[in-house]
Amino acid sequence: MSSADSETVRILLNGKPQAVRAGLSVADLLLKWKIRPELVTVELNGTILQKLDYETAELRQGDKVEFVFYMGGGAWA
Amino acid sequence: MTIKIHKGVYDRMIAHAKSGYPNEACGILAGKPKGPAGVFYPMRNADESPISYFMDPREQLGVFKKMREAGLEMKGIFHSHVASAAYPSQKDVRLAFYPEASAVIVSLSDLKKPVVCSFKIDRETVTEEKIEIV
Repeated sequence: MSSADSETVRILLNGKPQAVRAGLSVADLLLKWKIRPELVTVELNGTILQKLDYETAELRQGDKVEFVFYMGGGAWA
Repeated sequence: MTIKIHKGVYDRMIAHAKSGYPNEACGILAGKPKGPAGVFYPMRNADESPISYFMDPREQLGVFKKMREAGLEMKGIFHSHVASAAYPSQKDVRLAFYPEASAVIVSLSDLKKPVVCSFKIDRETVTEEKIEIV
C-alpha cells in the first residue's frame, strides 16, 4: 500500500463508494460537498448524528454515511 | 416539462391527502430512471399541521434507502394544501432542496374536487409542468 493509499479511507456516501482523507470529519465531508449542515440530517453507520457531533465524528474505513436534505413546506408563507 | 404519474399512484396520493385532512399530508413519488412515477411512499407529517408539513428525517432516510435498493429515483415530493391553491408557498420555495424532483401539490380547498399541480422549483424559480397520468 502506498503512503497515499494509507492516508485514504473508503466509505459509502449515500450508497456510493467514495475515497476520503483518513480522519476527515463529517463536518469536513459536508464542507467538501458544499452542503450546509443546518439543512441536512446525517446518519453514520445507522445512527443519526447530532449536529454538535459533526466536528468530532471522524470517518473510518468502511463507514456508511447517509444524508438527506430536509423536506418541508406548506401553505403558511 | 412533464411529470408522468401512474394512475394508481395519482389516486393513492389524493387518498393520502384526504386521509390527512384537516392537516397537510406529504409523501414521495419514485420511479425507474426515465420511467413514470410508479411508486408512492406516503410519509407522516411530523408537523401535524393544517398549514405546514415536515417529513421525519428518520423515515426519509429509510425511504431513500428503499428507493436505492429498488433501483428507483425520486420523481416528486408531494404535499397537500388544505385551504389554499395548488401552488408553492414561499416556504415551499425556500425549503426546496431537491430541484431535480417535481413539487407535486394537491389542493383540497374543495374536498370534492381536489386540484393537483406539479412544479419544478430551482432556487427562487418556480415553473409549472404538465402532469400526464399513465
